[in-house]
Amino acid sequence: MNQNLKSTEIHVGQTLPERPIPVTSSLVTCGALATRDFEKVHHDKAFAQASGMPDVYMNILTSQGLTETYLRDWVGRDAVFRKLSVRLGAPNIPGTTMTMSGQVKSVEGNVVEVEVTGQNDKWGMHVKALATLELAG
Amino acid sequence: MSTEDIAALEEKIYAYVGRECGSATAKDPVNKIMIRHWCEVMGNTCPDHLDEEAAAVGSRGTLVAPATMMFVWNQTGYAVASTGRPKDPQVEMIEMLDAHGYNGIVATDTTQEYLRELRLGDVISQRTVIDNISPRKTTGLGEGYFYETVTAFTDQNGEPVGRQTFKVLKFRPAQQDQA
Repeated sequence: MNQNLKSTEIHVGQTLPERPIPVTSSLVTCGALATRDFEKVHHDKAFAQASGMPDVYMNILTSQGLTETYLRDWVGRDAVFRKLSVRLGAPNIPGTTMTMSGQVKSVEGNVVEVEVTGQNDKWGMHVKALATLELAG
Repeated sequence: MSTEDIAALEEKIYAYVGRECGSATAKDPVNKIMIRHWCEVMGNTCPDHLDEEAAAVGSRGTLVAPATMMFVWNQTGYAVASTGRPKDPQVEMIEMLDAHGYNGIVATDTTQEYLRELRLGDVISQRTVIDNISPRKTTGLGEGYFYETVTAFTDQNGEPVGRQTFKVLKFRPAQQDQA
């Protein structure tokens, strides 16, 4: 995790370092359990396949949690999340990699908007998020 | 489906707008055990989520939950996998659409707004309403309806702490229409 970024250190268009995240059965199922999402499509492969998917797939709360963590590591400890909008696309299926990237969209005073994309290497855009963060002090 | 059948179905589903569904108070207060389990999987190392002593001397002065856990505290739990999601108007509406061939479902958009960070001991209640249902639309997946729920989150004092919108497409899979 970075030291707390100051608004003077952030500018529109600034990019965040990319983060590849291997999508594994463990990440999908354990993410579902850690977010208490017990829908079978997130932990029961046979059930997921019967619903037309190739395997279990990541639940939304995990996609949000990975997005939050990616932003937290960039912005530092003290910033407060005010809003997170998420558009959902292709599924995150085990055996693929989702690469997170981000770009600053606006800076007004202590409030920063960052767009985050999670791109799945096999299925395409998994998630596109817009986060509003309030920097400390 | 004939035009009359579609009109009859739409009359039934649009009656669900404004219906309350899935309102509940969390069985567990915001707690550091569930926060730590979440952080382990997400790879989140922020000390203000994990270390009470460090958090006490940090900018917040106390341990707080990760923002996106807001919707975790009130999840139904293992019953969803074992006995099925409890009936509520949203489940009823989904089943009605399923029965008319609109059996595809995909979440498309969700927004969370956080009015304050949640602290240890907070007991979170949520109230969800079916806010709107779109006209019948043609999408890449097939024809269907977008519906959006709005969930209000409150604390043990009834004070608002956050809000979530959640949009879902219920669709008639395109392949099914070709068959």
